[in-house]
Amino acid sequence: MKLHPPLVHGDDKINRDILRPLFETSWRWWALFGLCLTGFGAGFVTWMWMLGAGMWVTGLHRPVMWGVFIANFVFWVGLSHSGTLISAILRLAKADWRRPITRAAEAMTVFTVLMAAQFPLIHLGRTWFFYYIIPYVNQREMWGNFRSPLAWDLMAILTYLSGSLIYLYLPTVPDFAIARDYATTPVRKKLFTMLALGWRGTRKEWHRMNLAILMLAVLVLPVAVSVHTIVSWDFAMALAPQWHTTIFGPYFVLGAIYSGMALVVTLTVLIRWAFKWEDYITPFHLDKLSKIMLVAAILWTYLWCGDYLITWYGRLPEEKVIIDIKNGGPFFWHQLTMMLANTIVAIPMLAFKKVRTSPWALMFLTIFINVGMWLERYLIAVPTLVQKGPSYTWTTYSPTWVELMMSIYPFAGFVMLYVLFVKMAPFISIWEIREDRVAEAYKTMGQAKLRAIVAE
Amino acid sequence: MADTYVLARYREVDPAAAGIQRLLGASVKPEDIDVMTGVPYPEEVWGLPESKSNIRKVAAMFWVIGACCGFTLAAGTAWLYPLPTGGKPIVSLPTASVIIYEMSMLMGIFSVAVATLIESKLPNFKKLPYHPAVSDGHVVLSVRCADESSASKVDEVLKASNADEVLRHV
Repeated sequence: MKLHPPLVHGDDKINRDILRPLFETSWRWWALFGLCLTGFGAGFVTWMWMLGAGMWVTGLHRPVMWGVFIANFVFWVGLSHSGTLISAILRLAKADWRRPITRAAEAMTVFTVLMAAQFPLIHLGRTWFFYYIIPYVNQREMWGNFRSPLAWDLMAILTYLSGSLIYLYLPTVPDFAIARDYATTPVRKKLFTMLALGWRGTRKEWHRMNLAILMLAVLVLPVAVSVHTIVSWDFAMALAPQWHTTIFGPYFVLGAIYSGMALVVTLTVLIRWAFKWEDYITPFHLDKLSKIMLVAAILWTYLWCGDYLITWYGRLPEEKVIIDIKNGGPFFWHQLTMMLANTIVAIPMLAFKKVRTSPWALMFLTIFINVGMWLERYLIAVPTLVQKGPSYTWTTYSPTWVELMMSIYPFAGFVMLYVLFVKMAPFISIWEIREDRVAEAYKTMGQAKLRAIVAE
Repeated sequence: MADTYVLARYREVDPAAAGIQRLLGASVKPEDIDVMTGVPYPEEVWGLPESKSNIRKVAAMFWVIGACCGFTLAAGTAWLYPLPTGGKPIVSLPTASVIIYEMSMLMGIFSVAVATLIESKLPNFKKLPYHPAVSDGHVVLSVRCADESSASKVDEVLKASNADEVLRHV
């Protein structure tokens, strides 16, 4: 599929570069999509099988009723954080370097929330009773229990998903209009015409769009913080050792920002490589993203140490047994790997500019960080339940192949949605890149010619 | 009789802005002039009256409505089916505050999106004056003219303002 020839003799290089993935499909795309579809399908079939067989096919048993499913839920909600959050913060701060990254980050949020939202349903076991949590009045004139953190979860995730979808779609409308003008086949033309909503780029349209994006950034930001705080309260509202702590809200939010930033960097590096967008996503952008990740890593470590030290020093019997199984028991390797990934390796490496600007070093590091962050979620959910209550109820927990498959399921699903999105929308915000180029100016200072940005 | 639109395409911003000043000088009303661009330029660039918007007010109003809905949902339903528990209130404000907060944010977000679309008159799939060069970063002026004589006059003014292309949309 070839692109439309230039409509006028203008600078359309940006359009052509960024629209290319929408109109050209390589065998690599099909291979990746097929692989993801297979993984997603296998996970879905496993889920359906589990529904029929019952929860005994998992490693869950009394009292360990929260295992890999909940770890996955917290992990995927956490990943969703940085997309919208970082985009909103950078937009409000008018950080110009955000422009090539925001769209990929916002899309990441939507797809990770979609994956996360399935885990409470999977975890229910009897998923068909999900409607109990929806606020409606039943035949006994009873409503859902809004005092339950589960009802808060539902409200928070729905709000965040709706907000993130709107925050992704509205700024994409002007780019859909460009895709509409460049599309050559009738189907694509019609699709992008519908998605562009008749956008023409008039003065009033831009004025309202800019205002709306600003307002959405202001509104979405506190929602993003509230979502992971509420997820943390799923644990913290329970009177269980190592869960019932006031630090959990900020600790979860910071962990979410950290893991989300790591995924943004992984995706940014992969996209840059796959579409040869080195002109748009430069080491400068990777450096900036990595610096934010470094700050998140330091703050996360600070909160983890703060929480650990106080519980360790207090030596309350219920908490000591859980700390002991993390320090030297069955969860020792989990904890060691987590600390290596999130702190001991990540912080010193991110301190070096050479690492921060090296795409491949960053990619491997960020994947390692997310392995550590997944283990962190697992270590929050499981050890407390393994040795909770009287000692005769203490037990062990080993996930089964079902839980393994259900962990592959969201990974495959997320990547599948992401590669589909590549075919549906410009992955880098064209108008924002162009806006940056319009505002760009060069100023000579002594022997140097420096780049400056003209701003209102 | 349907309005005629005269479109002028410019490669650069400055001649387009100068073109608008020439049009205003030729007694064309500001509300008949529109500018289409591929990027959002500051409004002052064009020297036209600033666009007004009620999006902020609408969002604030719906934020409050959302908070009321949240309170109704969390507290109202507790009153509808009271479950007295020893020493505990029927309506717990700390727990209701979570629902109030989320509902207010949800309504605020939705209202911003809906208000933006309504104010921008989107979606709109009618054949309105447009030039695809906007997508290439060009600036296009659109001038609404009531009759042919005024269209010809506008045409001349735009040609004199170094437009790269001047055309009609009926």
